Amino acid sequence: MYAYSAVDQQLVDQRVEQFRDQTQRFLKGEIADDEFRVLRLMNGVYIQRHAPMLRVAVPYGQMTSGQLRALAQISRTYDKGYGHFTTRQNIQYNWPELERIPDILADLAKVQMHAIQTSGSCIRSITSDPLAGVSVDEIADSRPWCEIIRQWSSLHPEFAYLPRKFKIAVTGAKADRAAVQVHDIGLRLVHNDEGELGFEVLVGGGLGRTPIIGQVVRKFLPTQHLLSYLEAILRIYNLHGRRDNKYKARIKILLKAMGVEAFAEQVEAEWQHIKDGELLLPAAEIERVSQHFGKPDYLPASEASNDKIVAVVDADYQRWLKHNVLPHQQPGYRIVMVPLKNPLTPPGDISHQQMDGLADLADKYSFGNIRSTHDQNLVLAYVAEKDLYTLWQGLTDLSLARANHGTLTDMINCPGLDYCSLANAETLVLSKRINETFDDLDYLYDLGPIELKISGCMNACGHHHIGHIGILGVEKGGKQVYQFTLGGHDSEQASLGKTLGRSIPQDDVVATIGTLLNTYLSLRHDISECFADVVKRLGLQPFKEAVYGPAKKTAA
Amino acid sequence: MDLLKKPLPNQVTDFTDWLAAGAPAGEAIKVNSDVDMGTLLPAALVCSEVQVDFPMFADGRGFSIARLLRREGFTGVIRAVGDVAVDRVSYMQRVGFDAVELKEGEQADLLPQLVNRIQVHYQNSSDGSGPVYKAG
Repeated sequence: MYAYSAVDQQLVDQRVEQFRDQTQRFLKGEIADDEFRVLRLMNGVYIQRHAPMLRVAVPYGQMTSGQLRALAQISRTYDKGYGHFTTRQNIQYNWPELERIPDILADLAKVQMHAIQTSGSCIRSITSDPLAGVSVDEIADSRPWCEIIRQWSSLHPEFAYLPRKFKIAVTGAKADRAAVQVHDIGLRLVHNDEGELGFEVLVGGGLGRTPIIGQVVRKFLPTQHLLSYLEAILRIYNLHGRRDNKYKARIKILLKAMGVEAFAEQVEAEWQHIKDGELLLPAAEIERVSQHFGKPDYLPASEASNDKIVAVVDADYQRWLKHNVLPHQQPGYRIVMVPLKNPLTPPGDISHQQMDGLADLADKYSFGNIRSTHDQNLVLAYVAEKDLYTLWQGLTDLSLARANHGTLTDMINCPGLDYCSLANAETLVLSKRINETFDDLDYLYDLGPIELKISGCMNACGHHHIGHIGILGVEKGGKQVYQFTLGGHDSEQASLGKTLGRSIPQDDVVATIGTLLNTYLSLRHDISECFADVVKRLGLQPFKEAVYGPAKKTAA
Repeated sequence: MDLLKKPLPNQVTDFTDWLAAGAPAGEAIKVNSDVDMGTLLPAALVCSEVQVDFPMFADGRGFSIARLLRREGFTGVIRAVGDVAVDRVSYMQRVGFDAVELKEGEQADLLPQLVNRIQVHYQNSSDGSGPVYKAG
């Protein structure tokens, strides 16, 4: 876990005082609305439907227990006692008062956190694989590179007024748990033929109104050139990205207009000017940052593992063990997924009691480390096998042991019309009904891994394009209706879902999901063929007929 | 505040008009944010001043224009004009602007404290050795 240097701390502290001054001048009427809007967005502050919303950065999803307690304390002091984890691994508060946001930022700075560039047309906080450093399929740890990018991009003077927001994701594993193909820049750590570490660089992916899979602009970038290459991409985008239409302003549109070869040539030409200049990463700096992400003091496998614990006869525990506990690269250790998918609260929500309780459990059983994921869950990444049963009991007491990881009800949801001023339709009512209808865990397990993603508008914060089943809420003639897309995928072979057909009224959405699931169950070879695979094999037709055809089936 | 003290040139010529007039040396020119950098960079080196227009504050192309002018070796004045507010001047200074013309209604007296509010900058390492994007 990265710990701030004196410079890092000073930068964050001074940023807080800068924003405090800007807020005070705005409240005195000395800064115009549209001017302040840009300043507040770069500090994570939106004006939402009911109140300001503050989005706090959880850089590449890494938190300490102390930071999680501070997030709990902030939710008690300034908000309504809960927070909401987002699909970009950050946490949002929905009810702070604008006047007090500088105080929140000051509290965050005390625990080495901030809300810098979590919004606005700038380089947003970096996302990554939540299992970095512990997954069994790791090529290299992505976290040092994420931290290096975080520092380079923070308060970058040239790229604070880009045509549009800019998102960078990094993965260092074979499986893609960071959705790098749907980011403005996706970086994959790879080895070249000589065994050297570098990055495959993808550009121009994204969801929103124009969903596009990113394209490779460079197959291998030596690690020491990371920042100069990123800078070259950003400079080309800043100069040439469209500014006349916000819906055509993302880098994906520029890439499409220029063509990937021409774009890559321009980047390469710019990069030649700067590649061996001041942005060339010294080995000592890479080493300095990497040292923060060393292995914790693991127990020897003989002490960490305990066969009896795995054999505890308790059906609920066994279910949890099977679905929420993943293998670990360290013998004797496991990764524990902590779903924030309580049926009674919106996906991603967590109460202050749960945050405090989880921080305590992390201290006892996971070296004080907690991670957030892009599917709105948390992770305890360093759990000794001998502690699994006790941890499960602790998580159960906190209502954080629901064994639905990877199932239908482990869905992604944006906050929708209930909170968001951009939304066209409600989403939380859907997740609530889905939870009520599909509450039989054995049915969920029988469906196998399935990704359900719901967005309340075309901005696609719920990532519906890459859900096996994607649902997009739209408003038509004053009514909220929902468009379904099927067959999307966010894995290493990312694909975008295809539109099923005409929109479905809100009251029929759950029944339609039931129809789709039954159709899938009747068509799949076996459980190893997931929903998206069946759509790929058979196309949309059987699903269309099931939903719209004359012989329309009823829901499960 | 040095950024406000650089005297305005007597005459400023639009970049395209200046090119059409044979690109005379020693003059002050004004460029739009959509200027073609391939044309501007080699030509502008003989100018005494380049004014970069910010048509609206959200248009950040001027930041890259100034940065590239400095990299090309331009040592004259680079002045930000147009929609320029005090809260954006610190970034302007860091990419190479050494003069600004604030838009109407801005509190110029705040500028000295605002540009120095954040005194550390990240470069390729965080060792505090100063900003990477040195002006001029």
